[in-house]
Amino acid sequence: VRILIGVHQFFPRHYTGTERYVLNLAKQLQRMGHYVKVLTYAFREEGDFRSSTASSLVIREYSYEGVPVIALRHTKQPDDLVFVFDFMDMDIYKEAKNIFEKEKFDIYHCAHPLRIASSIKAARDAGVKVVFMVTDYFMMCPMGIMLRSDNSLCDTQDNGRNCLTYCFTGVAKDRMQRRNADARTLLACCDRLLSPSRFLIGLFNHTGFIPAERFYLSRHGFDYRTAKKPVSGRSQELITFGYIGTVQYHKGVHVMIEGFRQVRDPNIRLQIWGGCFHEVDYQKSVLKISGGDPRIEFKGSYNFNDVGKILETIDVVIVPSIWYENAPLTITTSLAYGIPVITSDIGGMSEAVRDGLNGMTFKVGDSRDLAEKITAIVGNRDLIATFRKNIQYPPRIEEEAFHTELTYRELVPVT
Amino acid sequence: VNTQNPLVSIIVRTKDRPKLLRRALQSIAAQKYRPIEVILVNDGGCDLDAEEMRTLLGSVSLNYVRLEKNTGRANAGNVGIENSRGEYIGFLDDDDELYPDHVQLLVPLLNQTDYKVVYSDSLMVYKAYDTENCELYDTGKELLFSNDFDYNRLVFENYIPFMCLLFERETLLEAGGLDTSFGLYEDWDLLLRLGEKHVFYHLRKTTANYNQWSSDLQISQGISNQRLLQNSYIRIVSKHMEKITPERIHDYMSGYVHARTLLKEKEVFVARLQKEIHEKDIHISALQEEASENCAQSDFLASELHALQVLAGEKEALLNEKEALINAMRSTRGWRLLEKYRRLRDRAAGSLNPDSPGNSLFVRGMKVLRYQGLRAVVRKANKKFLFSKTVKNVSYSIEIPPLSSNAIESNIASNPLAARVSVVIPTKNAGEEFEYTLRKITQQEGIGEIELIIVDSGSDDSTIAISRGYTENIIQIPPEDFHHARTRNLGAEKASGEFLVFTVQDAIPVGNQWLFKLLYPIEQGQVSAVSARQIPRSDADIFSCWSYWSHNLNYLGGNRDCICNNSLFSNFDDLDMQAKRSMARLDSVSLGIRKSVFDEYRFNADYAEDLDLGIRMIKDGCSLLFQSSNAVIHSHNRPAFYFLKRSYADTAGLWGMLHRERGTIPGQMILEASSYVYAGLKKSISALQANWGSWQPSGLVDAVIHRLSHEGSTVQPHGYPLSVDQMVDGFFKTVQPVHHEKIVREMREEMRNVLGSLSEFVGNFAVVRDIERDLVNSVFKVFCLVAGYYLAAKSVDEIGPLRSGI
Repeated sequence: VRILIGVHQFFPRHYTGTERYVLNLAKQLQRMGHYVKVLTYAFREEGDFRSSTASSLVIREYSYEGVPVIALRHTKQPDDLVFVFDFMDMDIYKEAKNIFEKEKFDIYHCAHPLRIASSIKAARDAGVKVVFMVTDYFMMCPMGIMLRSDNSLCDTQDNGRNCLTYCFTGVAKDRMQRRNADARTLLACCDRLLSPSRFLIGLFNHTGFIPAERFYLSRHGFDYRTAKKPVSGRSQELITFGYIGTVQYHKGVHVMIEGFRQVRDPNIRLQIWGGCFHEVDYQKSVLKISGGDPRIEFKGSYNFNDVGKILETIDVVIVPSIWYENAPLTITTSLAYGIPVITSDIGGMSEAVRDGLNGMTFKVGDSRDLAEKITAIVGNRDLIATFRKNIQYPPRIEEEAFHTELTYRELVPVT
Repeated sequence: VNTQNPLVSIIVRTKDRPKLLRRALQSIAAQKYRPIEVILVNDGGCDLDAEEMRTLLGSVSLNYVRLEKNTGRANAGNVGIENSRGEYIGFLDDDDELYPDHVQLLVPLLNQTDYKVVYSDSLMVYKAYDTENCELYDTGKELLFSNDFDYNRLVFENYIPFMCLLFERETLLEAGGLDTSFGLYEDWDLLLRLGEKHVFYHLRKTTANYNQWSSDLQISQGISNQRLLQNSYIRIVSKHMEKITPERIHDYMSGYVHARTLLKEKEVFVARLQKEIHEKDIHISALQEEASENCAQSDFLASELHALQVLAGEKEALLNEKEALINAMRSTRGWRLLEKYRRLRDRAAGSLNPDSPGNSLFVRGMKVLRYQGLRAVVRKANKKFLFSKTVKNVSYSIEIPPLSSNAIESNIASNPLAARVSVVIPTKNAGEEFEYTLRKITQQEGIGEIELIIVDSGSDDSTIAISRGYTENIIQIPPEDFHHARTRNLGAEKASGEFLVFTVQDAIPVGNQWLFKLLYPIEQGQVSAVSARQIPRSDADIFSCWSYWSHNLNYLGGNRDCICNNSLFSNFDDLDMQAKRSMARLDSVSLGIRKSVFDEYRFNADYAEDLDLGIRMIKDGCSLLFQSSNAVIHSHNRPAFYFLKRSYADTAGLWGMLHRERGTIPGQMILEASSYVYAGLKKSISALQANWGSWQPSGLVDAVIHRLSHEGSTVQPHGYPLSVDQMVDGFFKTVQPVHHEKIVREMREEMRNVLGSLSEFVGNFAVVRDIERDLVNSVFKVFCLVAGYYLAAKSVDEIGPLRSGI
């Protein structure tokens, strides 16, 4: 099968979760005997760009770890430079259509539509089957995370009214409506919609954007090459709780610290790993809340490759986010290493952690409830061992690729 | 007509060219703009039909002025200006044409801005006259100047075509019109005077055709006119001498110098392209030569084929004759007596195990003769002795659609497998990851109870400790007792489940429904045994991925779910090797079966116990299912030497199981030939290594294939720098490379076949640079596969060092 995977940005310059998902998938599919190419967008003119014959874009073809990549770039900056509102772009459409027709792809797998959304329409028009992995809420939320500018949770855009009221006050109504119309057009072009969590399916269904029955669940795979050994043998006296992620408001670090401080036990510790990104004021406020509690250690930013080492010293990971995390990498990583998690009872978080089974969940934003959960663990250490025993390891990248291949096979039969 | 629009006058000067004039006037009539008037000044030329012109112009009004004698272009122009009434004035010579939007585009620029003079661009159209058809035709077109207004340049160069301009009438009058002392370049002189006071606006759009006539039509091309042009230029420059300041000269010259530099660069570029073309030409002629050689070769092969066909026909006739003779013999009394004796003897032979050596080729040959006639014997013998490579689509199985994930989920929810399932895993030093694997197995969904049975043959790592966390059923045997079949049978004996599943210590189930998918078709009574596909680990090397892909997916057709049983074909023994292996494919890496069924058969081969089980079951009429839609993650990255030994052992084992005869060539000869091929391969790789970084991976493999065909026939000594596998290198270092032509040719041919498949597979990767080591290793491993196969299949004796240690 010949597959083109589209993603809004790619290695080597960009390396967040979505890019990693694409790279892992592409490499595994290659190993299973498929031809895979990545289509992406380049913000900077680095490397050898050439002008296109099909559109006014410039194009760069390169390879990353054996995977062929084609990067597109505008010669003239489009009006909506970050592409938050304008899904459709004639140049991207023309270029993508040309690629589909010239290279005879069977499948277009879109991993994120930002910047390159028109390629979905181009694939459909070129007769190529479209698989769309919906990794976040971007198709219905220009902010992408269903969290309003005032940090309150949003559960529907209400036909755009909430977006214009809470997040984009300066934006014209018809622009928002066009965004929604374009989003629906693009979704109609897809032959298969995949979601990494049931929660995301539910939320799209709830807002009326995509009915649940159109979705197929396809959990993200974890790269176990980095997680060789489940950790064992820790301190008997101390229980170490850990937070791994950026110190930002919507990550709920303040809720966690407030909750932790309510538990007076001297034999517990809290390690906070991660930088503040650019929310310096928030970091200051968090320091203030922690009030110099000697049990709380701020460890600063960390390297993703060192997470295994960090987890060796942690007994329970806390993920206190106050937004609808979808498939949070910290939870996946902790579970892959066999570490139980306490997390908020919303979004994809409570989907990965079942309260009382492989960890605990607490009422989102409620530090008192979190304190109760911590107290329960302090009162009964054996809980940790029980949780660990019940952990189901998250799927591997090989499994994800295999299931994706089965999806392709349903769309493109073996000849 | 919009009364708001100002009147535009277009002055047309003409002399003796009525035919051309019509075209010019037509282009004015076609203007989208109104109101327009034409001041047609006939500068002492032939009589014109004013009425005809009026009809031609339609709603454009005509003011026709006829001068008695020729007064020159400048005077004719001034007469035009004097007779015009329009607010704006443009000029069109009788041989040029305007585009319909010319006036419409320029008027607003004068009307709505402070500009007094505006101009557009024109297309130079080269015209020639076809004397036979008496027609004009275009010979070429180019954009004539498109430069923004630059007075410094205008001083040296008349770069604004006159018909492209539109003037305010007032401005023209202020300037005093055209200077009548000029016979040519009167327009340039006017622009030089106007441009000193006013900036002209340039509209970057082509709105007119500037026709250039071929030399026999255009007066200005003649030699006498060259002189005229030169004189006129000198006169203009003389008149405007004070405007040519040193600064302007410098400005103009630097533009010229810049242009010259650009031209130089272009020339260098063109020269390079020509050189490239030349090189390509040479390359093409070399390719053509090669192609003609190939043609000659294929012609030769075709004639050889024809000769063979003729021969085959003759043999066939002979066979028919003999068969008739045999039939005649059979009908005699003596034969019938003999037949009775043979039946008795066959019955005795038949009581032996059909797969035992006692069942000689002769007895089986007799059986075939009896039931299928002599021709079948000959056909089968041919198949047996001539190794025919059949690569055809397997059609002895029924493809079934895999269950969708939703169907499986609902089955698991509504109708789980209530029974106990025993999973048997032989282990030895399974490593830390075994914990992960066991947890993944025990967390499988939709199964009543999962019983793990570990048969460990001497682990000295954490295997036993990890296993204890999951099961009590751990059987420990001494390492030397391990046997692929017997060890698994031992595990199965301890099993108490209704179903048995065999897997291996480093196979990880894909998903949580692997067990259910494996056993559900058995529980439903569809089939007797099921195996699932293997997929590579994410860190698998190219060779292990390719070998599974080419062997199991392509050769055995493993990319679909297939049920196979012997009602689909007449006689299993009649099938070719590929079909047999594909039909009887059970895989002890992921195999599900009812315990009661397994107990009837058990594993009992020294080699490929799973295939052997499959063959016995198929022959007994069982149905087997291969699932491409269900899988375990299982692959090994192994060094090249492993494949030399593995291929040797596999071939030898398979030959035994499928009753094929050993080869007839002395082992030493094959070793020497292999060493020769190996040396050649190393040489090829070293030669290619220097510049393959940016190649496509299949290009590299193809280059190796190409070199295999063209490698010289002289003996290549050992010792080339690139040595990939120490063990392989060491092995062949002890063997003198000798060019045994036939074996070398065959081995290379075989390598070409296999490498062709590798080339196809690595076509999925971007560039050699990214996978260099992995790729070169794969090529050497292919060599090891082929060499191992040859050493086992063709050699009369065993090759000692390759026998042990797999």
